[in-house]
Amino acid sequence: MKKDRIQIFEIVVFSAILLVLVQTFLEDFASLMGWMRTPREILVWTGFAFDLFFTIEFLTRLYWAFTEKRVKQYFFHERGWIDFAASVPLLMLNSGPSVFALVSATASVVMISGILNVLKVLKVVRIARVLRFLRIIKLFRNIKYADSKMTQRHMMRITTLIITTVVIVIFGFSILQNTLLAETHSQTASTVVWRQIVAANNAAHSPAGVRTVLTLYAKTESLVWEISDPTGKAVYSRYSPTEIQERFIKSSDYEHFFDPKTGITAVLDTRPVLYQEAIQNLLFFSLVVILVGVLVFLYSPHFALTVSDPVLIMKNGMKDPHYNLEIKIPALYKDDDVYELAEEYNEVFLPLKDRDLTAGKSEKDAGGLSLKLEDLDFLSDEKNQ
Amino acid sequence: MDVLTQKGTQFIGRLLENPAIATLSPLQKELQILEFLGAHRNELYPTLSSNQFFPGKPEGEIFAILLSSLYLVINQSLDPALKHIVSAQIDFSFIKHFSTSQPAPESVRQSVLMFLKKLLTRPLARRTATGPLTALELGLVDRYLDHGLSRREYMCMELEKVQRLRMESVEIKNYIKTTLLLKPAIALPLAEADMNNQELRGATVQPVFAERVHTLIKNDLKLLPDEVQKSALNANLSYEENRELEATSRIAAILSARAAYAKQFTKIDRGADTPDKSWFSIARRNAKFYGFDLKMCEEFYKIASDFGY
Repeated sequence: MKKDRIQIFEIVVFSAILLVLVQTFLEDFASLMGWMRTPREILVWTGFAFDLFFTIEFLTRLYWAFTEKRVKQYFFHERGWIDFAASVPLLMLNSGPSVFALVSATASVVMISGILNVLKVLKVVRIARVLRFLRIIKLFRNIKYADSKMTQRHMMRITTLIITTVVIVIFGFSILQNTLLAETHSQTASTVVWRQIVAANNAAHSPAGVRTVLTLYAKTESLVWEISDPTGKAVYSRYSPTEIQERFIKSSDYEHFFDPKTGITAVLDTRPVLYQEAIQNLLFFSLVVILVGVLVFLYSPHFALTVSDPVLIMKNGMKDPHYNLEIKIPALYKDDDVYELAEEYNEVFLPLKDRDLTAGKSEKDAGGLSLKLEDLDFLSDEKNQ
Repeated sequence: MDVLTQKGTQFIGRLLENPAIATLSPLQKELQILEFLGAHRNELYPTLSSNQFFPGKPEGEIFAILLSSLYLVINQSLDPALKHIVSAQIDFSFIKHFSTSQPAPESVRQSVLMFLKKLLTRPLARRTATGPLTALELGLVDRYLDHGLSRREYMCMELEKVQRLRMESVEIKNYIKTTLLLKPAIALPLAEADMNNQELRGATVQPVFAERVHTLIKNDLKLLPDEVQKSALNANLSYEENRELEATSRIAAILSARAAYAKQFTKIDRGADTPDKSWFSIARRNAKFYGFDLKMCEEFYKIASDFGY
């Protein structure tokens, strides 16, 4: 019963992992394609739900490990660190704040701006989502060639190393981009536009002139969403409130600018920057998918055919006196240690075993009979009657 | 059938139902059960002497009942198999090439069948017949000789040029099948006490012994030419020590050994060679030990390799 429950739990977790990978892809795809508010809002909520689910799952597994006194084993050897990295930080630093920003959409703009800045710095943690790929590798156990435990372990190890390295490198570069290269980062299109707005404002000599200059500028610059004069009155607004409701959802879709000297404010569209980020994220996502696919479907068969299969055949040959199938030795790999051993197995061990069997030396000792006493259930059944 | 035999038959029937031996030929199954009973005699006795089986019977008597039951059960499938081999698989008309007298094919079939039935009443002969009869059941002669004769390499040269068989390919195959069928005749004069004789397990005998057996079977198989009888008996000789052996005998010796432990529908592990190819590869390395013709083994190996057997 407990085993059944665990099996159901595992199935649910694996389904969630597959779904969250789709969700991760769609979230960036939605930014790239400029999807409307509603579907994007759904994606933010589902992202949050998945992160919450995986956080609970991680805590549950950690609790089980704790009760069984194998926390270290779980965290380091059973890849609990992947469960952690792909859940708690994401909930705390990415999807949690995003949902908060969404819920607070009707709250003060200042608060949203604050959240916006937090999200900008912390969104690099989203990269950790691809670590979930490492968990679905278990799913490939049943595919052809990946049925040996040795192959599975090697595949898991090599995939973990490669994907983790890729994640760490990209994570490092993202941090670098957001901190050390902050100056470069500030030179985004929206910042440049804001500087031009301030300059245009300063060039005008009367409030009417300011209004005219800013309106003209705003009409020609597509990034300008809204410009307000020092009194807070909108000089120019590209979208109606309804359009804003439909088009924008994320606080990162726009940026607030305020000039303390003149008192003018502007809201500028930052989505072009987001497009670039979405493209980068999708590229990264595709890279990981392809890497996992190449390792599972190309490298795994190669490993199985050239390492674990010959070993398995030799194991069978040594266990079963009547098993006499030779190992095929590909000419290309004949100098491999495994195939050198296989050659010895073919040319020395099997003939020797065959002679021993004929001489009646190994048959009984090695249990060479096809009939086994333990297989004959009817003997014990009838004895018990 | 008395109650004890009935119980014995039931017990043997249950053993034969075991999936581990399901794909084996009747004599291979018999061999497995014989070896199983021998290996687990002590463990089985307490169960077999319980009320459910043979209460109060001494060990020797119980195993005697089981052995006779085993032969009884196996004969039920062996007899039709033998009839099928003799009447449908082998055409004895090839004997016309050896003598001027032309006995009726049906008479030849009957005499061979009668001889085999007599032969297979002997436990050791049954053991010796396991390989040859399984080889015939598996159709190994057709499988390999078709290729061997069409390749016109060593095997064909030995049959046509050295042994000088001036007959059609199909007749050569029938000759080899007959050689296989009668190969177990070597066990005719041997008693059950010889069962564990290591030399016999190795399956080679001395030419003098084969000659002695020939004189014994001559009368039973008088419708078959001497060459055929000798070919069958010589299939039990070592080629290493008797370089003049007929090619038919050498082929029969190899195919018989191949089939002795062969399983049908063997699962081939990924990365492993096919069963026949593996077996012939081992056989060529052990050719001297078994008294096989190395070149013949190599040709069988090549055929198995080329055709994925």
